[in-house]
Amino acid sequence: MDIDQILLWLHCLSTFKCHDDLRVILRTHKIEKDFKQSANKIEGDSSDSTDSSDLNAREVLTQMLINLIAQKANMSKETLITLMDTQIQTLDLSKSHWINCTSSYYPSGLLDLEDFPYILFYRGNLQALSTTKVSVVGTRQPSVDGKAMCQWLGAHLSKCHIAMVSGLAFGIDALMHHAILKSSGINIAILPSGLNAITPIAHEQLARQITSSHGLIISEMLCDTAPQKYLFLRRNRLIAAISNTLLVVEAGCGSGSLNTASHAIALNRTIYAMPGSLRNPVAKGTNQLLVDGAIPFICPDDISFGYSQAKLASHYQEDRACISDLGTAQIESETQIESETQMGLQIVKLISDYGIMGLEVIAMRLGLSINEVLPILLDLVLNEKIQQQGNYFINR
Amino acid sequence: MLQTVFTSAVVDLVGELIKAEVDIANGFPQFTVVGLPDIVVREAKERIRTAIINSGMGFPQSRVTVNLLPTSCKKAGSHLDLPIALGVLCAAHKPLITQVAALGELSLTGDVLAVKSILPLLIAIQRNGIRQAIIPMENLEEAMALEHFEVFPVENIAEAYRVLKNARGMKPIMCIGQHSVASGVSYDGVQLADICGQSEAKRVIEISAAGGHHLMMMGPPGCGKTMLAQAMTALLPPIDYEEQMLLTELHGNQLVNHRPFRSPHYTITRTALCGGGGWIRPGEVTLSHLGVLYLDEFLEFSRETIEALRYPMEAGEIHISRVSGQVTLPARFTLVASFNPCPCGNLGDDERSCQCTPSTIRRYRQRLSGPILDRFDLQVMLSRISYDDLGIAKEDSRRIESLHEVTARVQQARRIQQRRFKSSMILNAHMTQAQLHEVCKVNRECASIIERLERQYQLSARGIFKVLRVARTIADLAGSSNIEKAHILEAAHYRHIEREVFSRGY
Repeated sequence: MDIDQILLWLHCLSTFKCHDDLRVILRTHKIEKDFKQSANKIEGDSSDSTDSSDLNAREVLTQMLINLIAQKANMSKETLITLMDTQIQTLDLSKSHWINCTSSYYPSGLLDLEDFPYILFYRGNLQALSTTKVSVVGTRQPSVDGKAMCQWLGAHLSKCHIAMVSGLAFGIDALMHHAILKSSGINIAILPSGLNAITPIAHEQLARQITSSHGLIISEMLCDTAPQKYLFLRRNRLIAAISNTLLVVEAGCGSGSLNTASHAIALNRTIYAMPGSLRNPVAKGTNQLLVDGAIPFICPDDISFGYSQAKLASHYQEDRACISDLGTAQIESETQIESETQMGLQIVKLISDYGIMGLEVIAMRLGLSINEVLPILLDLVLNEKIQQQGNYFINR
Repeated sequence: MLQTVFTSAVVDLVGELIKAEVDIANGFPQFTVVGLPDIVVREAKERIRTAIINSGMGFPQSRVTVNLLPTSCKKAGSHLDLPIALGVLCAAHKPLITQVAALGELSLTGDVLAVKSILPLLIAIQRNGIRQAIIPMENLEEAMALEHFEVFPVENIAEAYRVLKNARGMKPIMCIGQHSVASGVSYDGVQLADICGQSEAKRVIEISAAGGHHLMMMGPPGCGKTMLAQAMTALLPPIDYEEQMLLTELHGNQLVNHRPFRSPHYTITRTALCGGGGWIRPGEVTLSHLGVLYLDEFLEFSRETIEALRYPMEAGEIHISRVSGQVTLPARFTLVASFNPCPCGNLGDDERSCQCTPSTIRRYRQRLSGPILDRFDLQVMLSRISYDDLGIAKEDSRRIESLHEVTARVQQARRIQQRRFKSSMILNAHMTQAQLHEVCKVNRECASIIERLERQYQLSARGIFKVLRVARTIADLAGSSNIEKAHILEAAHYRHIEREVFSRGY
C-alpha cells in the first residue's frame, strides 16, 4: 500500500461523487495538509527507508485513510482493493499510466484549482507537460476564417516549440490538433471521458496520432468513464488551468469555449480572443469576450513567449512563405513564380487585400472564366502561396 | 407441308424474332398452336379460322399444327394472328418461301387491325436481318421511323396473301426514318442564361454533358440546383438512329425523339428505380439510359435506394433476377444529384447560421456512403445568390456565353469521343483503366503535377484515374489532343468536396 495507490483510491471515489465530501472530511480531520506534507516526506524518504519507524508511520497513515474511505464510500476495504486492482489492470492493458499530484511532472497550473485532480491518467509523452503551453479552444462549427486561422496558428506554435492544449472536440479543437500534427508540434489533449472511451469516437485515430507524435492525452477520470455533460464542464476547468494563456479562436454565444474562458478568468489567466466580423455568427462569443476585457489576438508575438524574434523571422524566410504580418503579403522572390502566372501574382495580391475570397468573385474580378482561373488558383495552392477552404481562397 | 413465317414478339422487354412453323398433315381436322403461346395467342385459333373463311379462302380440313419458335419463351400479343394465318394459307394452298415478316391482329371479318406498339417489334425484325414486313395499314406512320426497311401496309388478309404471292401492284414502301431533332430542347424551357451567377456550376454541367460524368451539386435551398439540371438537357447532343432505336425499344411505345430526362421523386422504391417487379419492367435507371437521371434531394432517398445505384453508375447496366428468369438491362445514364449541406440548409453560409447539431449533420451526411461518393467524378458546391449578385452583371466584364457556344463545344467533344471509341454510346466517363492508358498520354509536366496532387491530397491510384478521365473531357472541350496541366488541375478541383466536407470529421 503506497501513497500512489491511496491517491488512486481517492480518485476512484470521485466516480461516486463523494469527492467533495472526502475533502471536507480530510479537512475537518486536518489531514489534507498533513497528508500532503507526510506524502512529500515519505516520498522523499522512500528511497532509503528501511527504518521500521518510518514504515510504521506510513502504515498508520495508510490504514487511517483506508478506513476513512471505506466508511465514507459505504463499501468494505476488500471491495475497494478489488476496484483498484481492476483499474490498474485496465491501465496496464491500454498502456496508460498515471501521475499523482506530487509528481514533478504534474502541471503546477492545476494546483491553482480548488478541486485539483489528485491523479491524471495519461497516454503518450509525459515530457510534453514540461514545455510552455498555450490552451486553444473554439466552436464546433467554425467559419471559413476560423478554419484558416487554425492552420496558420498551428504552424506558428510549432515553430515556437510551444505545446498546444485543447479538447479533441469537433471544430476548432480538432483543426488545431491536425495543424500541430502537420507541422510536427506538440499536442496535448484533455478528454471529457476516460482514456478508453475517447470522445468523440470519430477522433480515435486522431488521438492515436497525437500519442505517436510525442503528444499527450490526459484524462482526469477512470479509464472506462463514458462522457457526460457535466464531465465536459469539468474538463474545461482543466484546460483553463493547465496553462497560463488561453486563446479563444471563435465561439458562439453560450458555448463551451466561453465556459472555459470563465474558468480562466476566475484563475487569473491571460485570455486572448480573436476578433471576428459582424456577420459571422460564431464570432459573437469572442467579440463579447473582447468587450468583457479579453486581449484582442492581432499580433502573433503575443503567443511566442520570448521565442526570439530573430529566429522566428528566419523560420519564415526559410519557408519562403509570406511574412505573416497579418495584413499585407510580401512575395519573396518573383523568380520562384513561373512566368505564366502573371495572373497568379495578381490573384495573390487580390486575395491578400481582401483576406478571403470566393472562387466566383475572383473569376469575375479578373474577367476570366472558371476554367481559366481554376488551374492558376490550384497551382498557387499546391505551391502553398494561398490556402483553400472549399470554394474560398485565403491569404496565407 | 411445312411453311415458316417470320414475326416477332417482345420477350423479357426485348423484341425477339419469332418463327411460326405451320404444318399440314393428314388426319382428323385439328388446329393446334404450340410453343408456349399465352391466352391471347391461343384464342387466335378461332379468329384465324373465321377470318380465313370469311375472306373467301378455304381453311384446310386436315391436321394443322403451328409451332412458335423458339419454344422456350412465352409469346404474348395479338399481333401473331396474321403471321399464323398467312402460314396456314401458304402451307395449304401454295407454298412460298419468303423473307418477309408479318405482324397484325385479325378481326373476324378478315381485316388486319393495328398493333399497339409496333416499333420495338419491327426493330427486332430488322436486327435479325429481315428487310421487309407486312404490317397493318394503320401502323404505317409509326413504322416510317425506321431506316432501310420496306413495309407492305395491308388492310385485310386477302391483300396480305397477295403480297406473299408477289402479285403485281403490291409494292413495298421504303421507310426513310425521321430521327432527329432535338438539340436545344430543354426541360420546361429553362435556358442557361436564365440562371444568375453560378459560373462554376455552369462549367461543371458542360463537362458532365460532354463526357457523361456523374455530377453532384451541394448547396443551400434556392440557389438554382434544379434549374441547372433542367438546363443541362439543352446541352446534350441529339441522338442518332442506332440510339433512337435502342431507346424506343426500351421505352416500349412511341418513337423517342430526344435524350431522356428522368426526375423521380425521392419516395421512389428501389424496385421502381432499378427495374423488376412481378413481370419485369424497366426502372428509372434504364429509362434514363443515354440521358440524364436527376435525383433532387439526394439524401432524402432511402439508403437502400441509393446503394442500389452503385453498380449501374459504374458498369452502365443492371442485372435483375426474378423467379421467372434473369435479365440484364442497359443503364448508361448520367446521374445528377443535388442536396443541401445540412438538414436546415444553412451550413457554410456566410449570412445565415446553421441550426443543426454536429451529430444531426453527420447523420444526414452518412446516407451518402463512401463508395457512392467516390463514383461522382464532378462535385460542385453552390453558394447562395444574394440580392447584390443578381445585379452584379454590371461589374462583370466577362462575356456571358450563349447557349449556342456551349452546345457547340459539347458537340465537338462528343464527336471527338465518337471517333476515339468508335461508338456514340461510349464516353470518357466509361473508360476503363486500359483504355485510359492508351488514350491519355501524359507529358512530364503533367506527371509532376499528378505526383504533387497524390502527395497533397492523398489520392489513390483509382482517384488519379478518375481525375484523368475528367481531365480528358476538359481537354476535349478545349479541343486539345493532349492533356495539359491546367486540365488536370481543374479536374482535381472538382473532387474537393469529397476531401473536405465528407472525409474529415470537421
